[in-house]
Amino acid sequence: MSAFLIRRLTGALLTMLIVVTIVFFVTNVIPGSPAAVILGEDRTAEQVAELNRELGLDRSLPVRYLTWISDLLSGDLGTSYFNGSDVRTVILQRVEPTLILTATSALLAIAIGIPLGVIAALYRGSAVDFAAMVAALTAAALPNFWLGLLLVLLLSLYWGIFPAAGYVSLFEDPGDAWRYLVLPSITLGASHAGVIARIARANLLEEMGADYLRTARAKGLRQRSVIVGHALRNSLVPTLGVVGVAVALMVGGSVVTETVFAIPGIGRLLIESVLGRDFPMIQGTVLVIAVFVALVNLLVDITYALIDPRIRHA
Amino acid sequence: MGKTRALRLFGYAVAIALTATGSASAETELKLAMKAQPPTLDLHVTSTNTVRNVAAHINEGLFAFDSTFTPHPVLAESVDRSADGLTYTFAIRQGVPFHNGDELAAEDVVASLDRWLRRSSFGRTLAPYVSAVEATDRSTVELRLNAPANFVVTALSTWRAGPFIYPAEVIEAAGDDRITDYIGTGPYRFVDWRDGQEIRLERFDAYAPVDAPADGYTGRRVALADTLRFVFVPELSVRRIGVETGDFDVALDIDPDSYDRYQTNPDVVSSLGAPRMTTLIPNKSGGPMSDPGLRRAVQAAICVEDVLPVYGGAAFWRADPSLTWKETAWWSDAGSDLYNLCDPDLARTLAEAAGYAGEPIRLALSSGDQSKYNVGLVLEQQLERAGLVVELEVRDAAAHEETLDTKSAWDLMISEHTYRSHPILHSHLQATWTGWWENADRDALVAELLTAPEAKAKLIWDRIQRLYYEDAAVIKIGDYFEHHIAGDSVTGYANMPEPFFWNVGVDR
Repeated sequence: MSAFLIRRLTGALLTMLIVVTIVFFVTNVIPGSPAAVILGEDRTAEQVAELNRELGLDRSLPVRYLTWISDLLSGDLGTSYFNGSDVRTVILQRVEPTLILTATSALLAIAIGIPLGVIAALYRGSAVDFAAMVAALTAAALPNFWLGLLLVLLLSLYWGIFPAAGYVSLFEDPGDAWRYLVLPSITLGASHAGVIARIARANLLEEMGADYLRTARAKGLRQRSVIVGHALRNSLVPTLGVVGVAVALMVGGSVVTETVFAIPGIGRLLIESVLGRDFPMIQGTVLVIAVFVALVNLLVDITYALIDPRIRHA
Repeated sequence: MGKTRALRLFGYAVAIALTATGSASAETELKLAMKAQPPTLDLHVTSTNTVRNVAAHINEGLFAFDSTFTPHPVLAESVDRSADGLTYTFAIRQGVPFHNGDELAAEDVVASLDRWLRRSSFGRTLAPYVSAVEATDRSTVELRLNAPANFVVTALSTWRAGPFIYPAEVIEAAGDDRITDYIGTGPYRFVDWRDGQEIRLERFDAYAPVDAPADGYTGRRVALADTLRFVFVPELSVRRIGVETGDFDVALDIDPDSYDRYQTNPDVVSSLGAPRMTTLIPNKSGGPMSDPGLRRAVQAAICVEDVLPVYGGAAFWRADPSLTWKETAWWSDAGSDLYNLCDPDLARTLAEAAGYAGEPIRLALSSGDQSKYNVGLVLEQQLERAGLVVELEVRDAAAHEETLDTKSAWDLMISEHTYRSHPILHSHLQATWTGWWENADRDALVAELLTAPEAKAKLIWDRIQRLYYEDAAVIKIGDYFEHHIAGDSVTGYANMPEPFFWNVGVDR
C-alpha cells in the first residue's frame, strides 16, 4: 500500500509542477495589462510604466519565473497586484466557501443520485425507472446559470424563503450560514446528481446480470442480501470514480454558481484574477485547484484500492 | 384553493419559519450591492468608479462640489488667492480627527497634495503649474504656482483620482507603493475588506462635520447608518432581485430595461444617475485616423439617434453636441453644425478627398463592456454605409486596455466619460492621453483658458470645442444616464454623479 501511495504522490507532484509552470507562462504572455486595469481610463503612459515598475513587471519573464518558483518553495505565493493582499491569505479566505459549497453540493448529488440510480435499476423497465431517469436527465441537462437564477426567482423573490445572494461562514454564524448555502448547493449539485444517478443505475444493472449473483441466489441468499451485500458494493467502484470526477468538476465549475450567488469562493477569485490579470493570484489559485484535484484523485485511487484488492496489488 | 395559491401559502409558511431562525439586530446597516470590488482603496492612484464609491466615505478633500457644482470647503476652512493669482493660501479646519485619533494638520495636507500631484492623473494636470506646496503653520497651507491657473480650487474639489487627505505617516509608510492603511477623516471608518465578498465601514463617532446644510457633496455629513456594507455582486439580475427581496438596500449599475417595471413597483425606487458621455476617439498618432480629413468623414457618417438607444429608452440618453455637460456652466454648442450630420454621402466625399482607398480601420472594443460594444456594432454599420472598411477588434477588458496604450494597435475606440466639472479635467484634452491629440492651437487656447477670468474663460472654451469638431479629435456621440435602484425604506439618497451614502438612512 505504501509503494502505491508513493507512486501516486510523486505523480501528483509532477502534475502540479507542470500545471503551474504552464499557467505561469501562459498567464504572463497573454495580452492584457494589470496596470491599465488598476489605473482606470484616465491613465497616462507614464503612470502605467511607474506601476509596472512597482509590480515588478519590468523584469524579464525568466527572472520573474525563477523568483516565483523560489518564493513558492519557501511557501510564499506572492502579493496581489490589486489590493496588495498576501495571495496565500486571500486564497485561504476564499477556499472555505468553495470547499463548503462543494461538500454540500457533493453530498446532495450523492444523496440524491445514488438512491435514484439504485431504485431505477431495481425497477428496471417500470414507470419508476422511467420517471427516475427523466428526472436525472433533466437535472443533468439544466445549465447551472439558468437553474440558479430560476431558484433565486422562485425561492427568494416570490417566496422569500432564502436570501438571493451572499455568503455567511459556517464558522461564524452556522444558524444563518445554511440559508445561504441551500440554493447554490442545489444549483451546483443538481446536474451531478443526474449524472451519478445514470451511472449508478447502469453499473448496478451490469452487476445484477453477473454470474456470481446467480450463484449467490442459488445458494439461497435473500434478494436484499444479494443486492446490498454483493451487487451494490461492486457497482459502487466505477460510480465512485464518477463521484471523484464530479467533485473535481464542482471545484473548477463552481465559478458560475459563485458568480450568480455572489459567493466569494475560489472559482470567482480565479475568474476575477484572470479578468484583471492579477498574475500572482491566478498562479496561486490554479496551484490550489491543482492540489485539490490531485488530492481528490488520490483519495479516489485509495478508495478504489481499499474496495478492490486487485487494484492495490496491481 | 387553487394550486398556485396553495403553493404560495406553503412558500410563505416556510419563509416565516425560516425567518424566525435568522438573527435580529438593532444596528442600522446599509447593504449596497456593487458590480465588482475595487482594485484598491487608494484614491490618488486610480480614477476607477468602484474605488470612489467606497473610499470617498473614508477620506475627504479640502473642497467638494455642491449640487450646482460650485466648490465649497470641506477640510479647508477658507481659501485666499493672492492678487497676482500665483499663491493660494488654505486655512485648514481645526479639531478634525483622523480615524486613528490624530488631529488633521497642515503637514497631512502637504503630504497628501504632494503625493496627489505626483501620482494622480488629475494631479499631474495641475502639477506643471505648481512650484511648491508648503505648511506655513499648523493649520495653514500655501500652494504656489509658477504661472496663473484658474482651476486650482476646481481641481482640488474633484473626486476622480482626487486630492483626498491622508495622515502624513500613512503617505510616508506607503512610499512609492499604493496606500493600504485606509485612514481618513470621513464620516465612516474602514473596518474590513473580505476579498471578493464585501467591504465594511462603520460610523466614525468622533467625526467633525462641516457646519453648513448638506448640499451635493458639501455641507454636513451625517453617518445615519451604523454600518455600510459594500457587497460585490457581479450578476446583474441578482443585484436587482436582491433589492426587490430586501437583501440589499441599494444596487448600483442596473440595466435600463428594468426601468419601466420599477415605475409601478412601490417597493423599489428607481433613479437615473448623473449623465455620462459617449465619444468615439480616433487614434491621431498614426494610421488612417491620423488624417484629419478621414476623421471628418467618420464624424459626418454618424447618426447619434441610431446609436444612443443602446443605452435604453428615451429617458436614458440625450443627443447633445457639448463636450461639457449641460448641467455645468461650461456647456457649449460650438461646432454643433458638425455634430450628428448623419450624412453617408458627405462622409464618402470627405473620405475620397482625404485619399482613402479602402484601408481597414480597426475599431477596438472590449467584450467586458456591453454598452460600448453595442455602440461599436452600430457605428460599424454606419461607417460601412459611408464606404469605410471597419474591422472590429474585440478583446477582453485587460487586453483591450493594453491595446489602447499602444499607439500602433488601434484606429478608433469608444470611450465613456464620467462627469467633469471643468473642461481641463477631460483626459482627452491632454496630448498624453490615449488618442494622442497634438495640436498647437489647442495648446495655446488651453494656456489662455487657464489664466483667463471666469467670464472670458467660457468664450475660450467655446473656441476649443470648435477646434475639437474641426479637427474631429474626439467625436461626440451623446450623453447617457446610469440606473440605480434602492428599496423604498432608503431615505436621503442624493442623486449626484458619484453615489455616496452619508446622510442616507434606512427606515426598516
